[in-house]
Amino acid sequence: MPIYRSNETQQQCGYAAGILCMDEYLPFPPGTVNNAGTFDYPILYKLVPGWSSADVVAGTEANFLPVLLEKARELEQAGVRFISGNCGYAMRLQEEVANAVNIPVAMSPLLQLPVIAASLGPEQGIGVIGAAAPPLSTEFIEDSGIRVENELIVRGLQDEPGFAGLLAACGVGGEKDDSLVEYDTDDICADIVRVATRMQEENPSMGAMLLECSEFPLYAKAVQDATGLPVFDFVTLIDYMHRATLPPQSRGFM
Amino acid sequence: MAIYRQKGKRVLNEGFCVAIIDGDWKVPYIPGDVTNASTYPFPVVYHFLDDIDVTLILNGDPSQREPVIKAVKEIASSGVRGISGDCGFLIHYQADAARAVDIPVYLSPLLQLPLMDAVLAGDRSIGIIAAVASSVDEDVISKAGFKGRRELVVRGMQDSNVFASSLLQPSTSIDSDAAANEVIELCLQMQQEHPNLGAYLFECSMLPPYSHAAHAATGLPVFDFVSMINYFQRASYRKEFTGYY
Repeated sequence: MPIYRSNETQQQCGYAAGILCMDEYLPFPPGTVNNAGTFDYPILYKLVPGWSSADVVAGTEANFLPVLLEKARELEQAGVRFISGNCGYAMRLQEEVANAVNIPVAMSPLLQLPVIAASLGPEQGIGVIGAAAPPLSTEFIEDSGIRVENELIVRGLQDEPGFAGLLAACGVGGEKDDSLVEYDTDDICADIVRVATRMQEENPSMGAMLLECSEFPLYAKAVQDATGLPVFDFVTLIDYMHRATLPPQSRGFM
Repeated sequence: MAIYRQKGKRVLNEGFCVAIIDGDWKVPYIPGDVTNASTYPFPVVYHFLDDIDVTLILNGDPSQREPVIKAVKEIASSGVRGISGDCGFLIHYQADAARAVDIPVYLSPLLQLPLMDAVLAGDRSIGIIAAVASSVDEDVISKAGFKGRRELVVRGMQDSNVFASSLLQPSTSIDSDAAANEVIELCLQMQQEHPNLGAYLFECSMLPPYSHAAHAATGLPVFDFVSMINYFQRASYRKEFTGYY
């Protein structure tokens, strides 16, 4: 057995994944980033006070950025091996958070676009479904530093009946309504499958789907079943980072 | 339950999500190696290429393009959901292979470079360990899609003793503890020479057995062939989430 040394500030050990969380409270069913049971390994969640959808949509991230960076450093100090988040729009903050700590940072599923694009032919589009578009758009993605040759087909769920209530609860498109205490995942699943199917009908050469929002991995299987396409999201990104930052011992036989 | 329909004539098996094209390296494929099926927690199917010369792949010889493309097309029609390979220098054929079929193709772990570039702080360098360092030239880095400005530190296993004699030429056995020590030593040396190293990227399909040891010795993330294959498999075969609320 090896010798283990503590950094004297760790209150608990064994969390490789640290996730920065928006100051927003929704039901988090299994399959969403904020449900620990979504993952096969422990997650250390860290609240970022003041990180709101309203600021994200308005592009006023500067309001909470200092706190976000402080919380990222706290996660690093707590011993996590990499940091992620629970809002894909934080792609715009990726570089600042990555530069604030000495461990890898993967704030947004949008980071996967280059590797997805490399695996596809150049004429195959990539479908991106976000919580709301705008603010998500091809320009938003390019402005946040992601460039791919493949066409991006970007859609949001802002006008879909099941998801609109959840967005309203986050203060998107109106006054923040903290009263949302329930939503129906069947309704949201129908929304996202309808949008994905329509995207594929309009773009038959689409080669992959990418889900931006941390609420969406729950519906990844349904999107895949409906489209037959590979589906990337927050969970594929976090699983990938976990594997690379904590490579398991090889087992097997020959 | 559902209704399942025969997909084609005489389909012998189904359910392999990932196919791996497999050159004739004539070496032992130990657990953790790309060409050992027990490396993965899901079934993979190997497509053996008996008409390619693996030594010519290293530098992307154009003569190997057709056999690789032909294999990729054949595999794609078999119902798998993604295609990988067993040599990182298949990167030379990546763009043509991806263009040839409708499913994702990920022939080389070097494709992870742009994502690694994005997740690390700007002042961190990336350490690449290849089978043969000299084959990782500017062309390879460009084909990997790397457009970043950060430093890449490239080393190879070509001057090692055990790894080179057991895996970089035909052999029937390998002392994997001794090979692990060689990989660890190289990783530590790179880290000492480049204290700003932020992660390793292993090019070779025979290096993943040592990723755990490399990480344990250096504390740094290790991206390799298996991390890439697992990633794409996961996206190609989504499952229902269990758990509770």
